[in-house]
Amino acid sequence: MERVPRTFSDFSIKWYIRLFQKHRLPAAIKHSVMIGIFTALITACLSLLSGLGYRRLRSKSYFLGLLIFPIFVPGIIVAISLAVFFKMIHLSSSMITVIFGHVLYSLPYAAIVTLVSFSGLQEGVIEAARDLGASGLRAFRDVIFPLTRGGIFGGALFGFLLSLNEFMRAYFLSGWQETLPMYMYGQMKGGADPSIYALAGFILSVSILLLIIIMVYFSVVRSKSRSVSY
Amino acid sequence: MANKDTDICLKNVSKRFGDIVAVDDLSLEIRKGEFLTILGPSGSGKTTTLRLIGGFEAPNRGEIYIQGKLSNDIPPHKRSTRTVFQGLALFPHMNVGENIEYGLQFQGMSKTERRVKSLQALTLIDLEGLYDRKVTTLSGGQKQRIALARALVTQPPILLLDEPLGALDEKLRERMQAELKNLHYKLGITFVAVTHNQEEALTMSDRIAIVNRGRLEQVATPKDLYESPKTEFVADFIGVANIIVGILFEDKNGMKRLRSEGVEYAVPQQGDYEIGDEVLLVVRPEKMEIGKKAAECSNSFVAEVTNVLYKGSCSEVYVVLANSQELRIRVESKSFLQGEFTKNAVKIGWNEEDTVVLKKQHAT
Repeated sequence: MERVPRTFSDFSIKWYIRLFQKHRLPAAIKHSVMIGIFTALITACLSLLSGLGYRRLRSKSYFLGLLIFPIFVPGIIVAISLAVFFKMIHLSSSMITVIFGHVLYSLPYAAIVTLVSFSGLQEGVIEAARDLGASGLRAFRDVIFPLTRGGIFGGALFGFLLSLNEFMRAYFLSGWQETLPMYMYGQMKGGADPSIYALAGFILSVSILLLIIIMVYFSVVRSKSRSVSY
Repeated sequence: MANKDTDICLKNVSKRFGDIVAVDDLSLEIRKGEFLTILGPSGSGKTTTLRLIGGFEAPNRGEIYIQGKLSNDIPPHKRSTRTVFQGLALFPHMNVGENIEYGLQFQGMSKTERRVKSLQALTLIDLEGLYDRKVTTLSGGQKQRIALARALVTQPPILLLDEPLGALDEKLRERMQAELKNLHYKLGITFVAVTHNQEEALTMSDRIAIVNRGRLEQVATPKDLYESPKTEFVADFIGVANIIVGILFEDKNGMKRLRSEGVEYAVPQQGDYEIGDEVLLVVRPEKMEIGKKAAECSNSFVAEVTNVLYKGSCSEVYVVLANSQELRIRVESKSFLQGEFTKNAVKIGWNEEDTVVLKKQHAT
């Protein structure tokens, strides 16, 4: 069986069907999506907290430096170090350890996106809400969150996508659960049949579909909500 | 807190930001129903003072009483003050109606009640029909009124205004000054405003508190501030003042007189100053005479005109005395032809009762 087709001969969905007959694949997709969702949630929460805290910070540049520091450390170093660290604290490899690694990986990107949206938030509008009778929590719900929503969702999206595509950390930190990139890597190494290309096509189609949904959603939201800048 | 006519009372309040002392041992009583303006140059601590009253800053020292209640640790949403913020701080993601209604939900009002109230408020400020508009599409003057309505619709007993007209152009600012004053009269609640614009303060306020470098210089009615300033800073800050620095001495008739750079001036005899004090003599430009009338004044000199500035209904004449003391004199424009006095020696003068003598403050 040829690994790289040289010519287009027939049109077929055979390999797509074959794709979903492989029992390891659905499990890998499930693991990746679950890890992605949890990574997105935790990353978004941490980004939000950093955005809230950043406003009150005196030494902002130190905080920012610390926040983006993980970007500068090579992925494989982080992966091995974390694996060693989890072994030391007797935390056995599982999806949880992968999520840890992925949060550490995606947080700098997500936090920067969130901080950008917080930079457009004027202190005055928060104070105005407090002044008019809102508790801290209500001011967050009514003013801070609606005005920084884009950045928080953007951060979550970063968390999800970075996690979904991440191989190195998942490879070192996961237990018996295989993620999608790990599965694909295994398939490529082991002399894959053309279903791997079908998988690539499938992922691309889903990504384009998601992108269209997100763009439509945001254009609807934007036309509905009153413009954010003033 | 003795007086129940006092709405807000600051007692020896200090506020530091790091090494910077923004408010320094400031004590101030604001009466119920008055329009008090805190006036000062930028960095004088006036906005910090307002934020201390509104609850957005906590004092490092001293006590803040609002309506008789010690309020140092009470958060903004539990105070009876409402603020119109610098830059207005309208909620950009809400429409006009939602902005105005925002504070009402915390007073336990239903949605329909809130809508009725905000529509009423919009009518009151002549902006009916704007309920559904985005706040970003409004003009400066409209935003200004929405910000006012948002604060006032909750019927607060005290309204705080932080540079409320700062964002408006000159013409609109003048109109809003009159509107604010009118609004204050109609509502009868306490207004506390902060501004760096002295004309605005003089126009709107019942009383003005002048602050400088975190300290209170003087609290008085606009008229008293102008006519009897208590400190050099106030004299110089409010309006235009001619200030002559000299030493008080006793003449052979036992009267106090001022000697400055070889020239002697008559001064008011009553006041908080002694022979030998280094003092400032403050003369307002419009209290000075020029020409024939000047000869009858208790202070009368020959001066050289250096400049004449036409300013519409009045003109300013810059003169210099023989000892090179510079003075500004304001005269009605129609009383002379522009340029007539230039470079000529003229008689100038003023009466001692139109002057104020202040002790020289030494920098601490």
